Amino acid sequence: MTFGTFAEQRFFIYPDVNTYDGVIINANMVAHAPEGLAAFLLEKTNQKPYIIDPLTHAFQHDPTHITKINDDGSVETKSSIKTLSNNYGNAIKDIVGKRPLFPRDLTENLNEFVDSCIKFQKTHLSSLMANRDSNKYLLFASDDLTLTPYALVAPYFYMTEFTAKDWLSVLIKSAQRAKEIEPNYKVFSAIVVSRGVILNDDLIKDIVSNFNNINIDGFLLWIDGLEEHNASAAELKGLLSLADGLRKDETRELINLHGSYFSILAGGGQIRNKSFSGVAHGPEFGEFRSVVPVGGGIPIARYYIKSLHNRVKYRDAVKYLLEKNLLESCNIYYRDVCDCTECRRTLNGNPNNFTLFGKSDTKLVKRNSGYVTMEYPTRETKDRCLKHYLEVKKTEYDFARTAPKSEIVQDLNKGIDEYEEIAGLDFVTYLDTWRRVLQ
Amino acid sequence: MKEGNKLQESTVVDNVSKALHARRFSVWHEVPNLGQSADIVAMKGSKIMMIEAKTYNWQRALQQCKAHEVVADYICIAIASKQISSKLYEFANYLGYGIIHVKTTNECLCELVLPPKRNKKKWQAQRLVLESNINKLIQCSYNIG
Repeated sequence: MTFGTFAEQRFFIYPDVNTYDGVIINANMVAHAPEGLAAFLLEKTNQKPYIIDPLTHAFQHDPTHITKINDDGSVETKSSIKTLSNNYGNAIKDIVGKRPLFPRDLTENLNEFVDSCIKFQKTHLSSLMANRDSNKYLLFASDDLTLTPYALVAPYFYMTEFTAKDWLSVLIKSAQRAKEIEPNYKVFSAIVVSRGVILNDDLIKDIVSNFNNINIDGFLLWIDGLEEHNASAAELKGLLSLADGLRKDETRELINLHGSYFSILAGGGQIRNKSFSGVAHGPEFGEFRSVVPVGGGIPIARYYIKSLHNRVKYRDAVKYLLEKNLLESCNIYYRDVCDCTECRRTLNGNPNNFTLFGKSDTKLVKRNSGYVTMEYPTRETKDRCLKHYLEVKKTEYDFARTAPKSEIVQDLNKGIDEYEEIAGLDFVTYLDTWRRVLQ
Repeated sequence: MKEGNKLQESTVVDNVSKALHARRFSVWHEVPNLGQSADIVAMKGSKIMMIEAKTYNWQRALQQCKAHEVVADYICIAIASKQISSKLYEFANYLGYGIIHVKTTNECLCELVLPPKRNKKKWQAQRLVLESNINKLIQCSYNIG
């Protein structure tokens, strides 16, 4: 699971200590709060392996994404990015916040950049973890405690179908250098590409063949803004084609950084070969993500409907469950909607308590020349929805790994059959698309 | 240029609210409900009518009204236009929603051209949450009635 904020750190052992195989942490968080993260990794994750995403693509975009405007009007690089850039060498330090990074900037400085980036990942947290008191107790209790990352990630760059020709060679050289300086360490590259790339068979072949010719242990994969619930069959096929090619007959690891149930099934090994060795997302967010963040919007409570394998707005979930008479009794709810611990705890014998998954506080918000009242989910609501989500997700991962193919297909069809009439064909068609693409 | 653009949505809301108030409804604006806000909530006795006001995009109003089915006794769309679209009438009638026509004249007269049917999809548990939101607005003195 991907670390988001410290508010969610307690969920990295939820519903149980063995739920997750590892933690992904963004390098800007490592730069921003290293002590807190060192403590988190040692004490809140049951010592799960971790990978630091070096976030090197951040430097190639418009600097406005990594700068802020102060009250006096001056522009300043965000402090976490500034700290990161100070650790990444002159190629980054010289341009950060001023202009985007170009491939030409790395013609002479690439090795320094790679060396610095790898060193940052290897030592920035592990040194702090080694000095924590809790580490002494853990070392006493365990023979194989590892403080360094599970894998080191070579600096990487976002590629579109138009810029791949400029960045791919830099990406390859970066990966080669990283493996050269750390031959005994697991080294990954990161493939971060636009949706146009996965629709271009020639590009996919080009990327795959380039990486097949070098010594690398694995990959992180991120398709810009690919929302598997809305993706076309062609995009999903392209995703799998790229993943399968990079995995080189499953001899290399590949973690999809932002995947939903489709990716979970694609990595489960039961419905097809394992296109992914791992699938990541955040605590209830991050099943898709744009490379250049698009933020904002009012938070709305969302409930993960098991049969749909999708988070839906609370108001839609209520509508669907009412139409199907699934809130008539707790027994019906547990049988046909969800019987996870959180649902049982929330309903507590009364199906009307389903409203607690949407409970909100109202606040006055300034709008134009006046004020309007807006709803925001309460902290408790967010926790309930998140716990329910994590419990259902765990069952999805287990199901994808163990269920026979026929049951997986039946489950996808069940979602269509149950919700097509009330939610509409368009709303559930992704289940059919997934089934067709995966088989 | 569309006819309805001659009126602002806020004007539609104000005129409908005045008409409702004249008929002894208690009226509130921008009442939170299920993550969105209802333009107008009108209450008489224990019955709640929820109204979405639009100057032209009645399709959007129909979508917004869907959320109100869980909590309202009656649902209406208030539309400012020269004439009521036959499609709007057809959809609203099918869904049981009412239509309040706000004429785009100087007087901005309101006419109930299609009475709403009693909503049978209400879920009492969620209705209590709406009533709680209305009570909070009362405490904030947002009642314009």
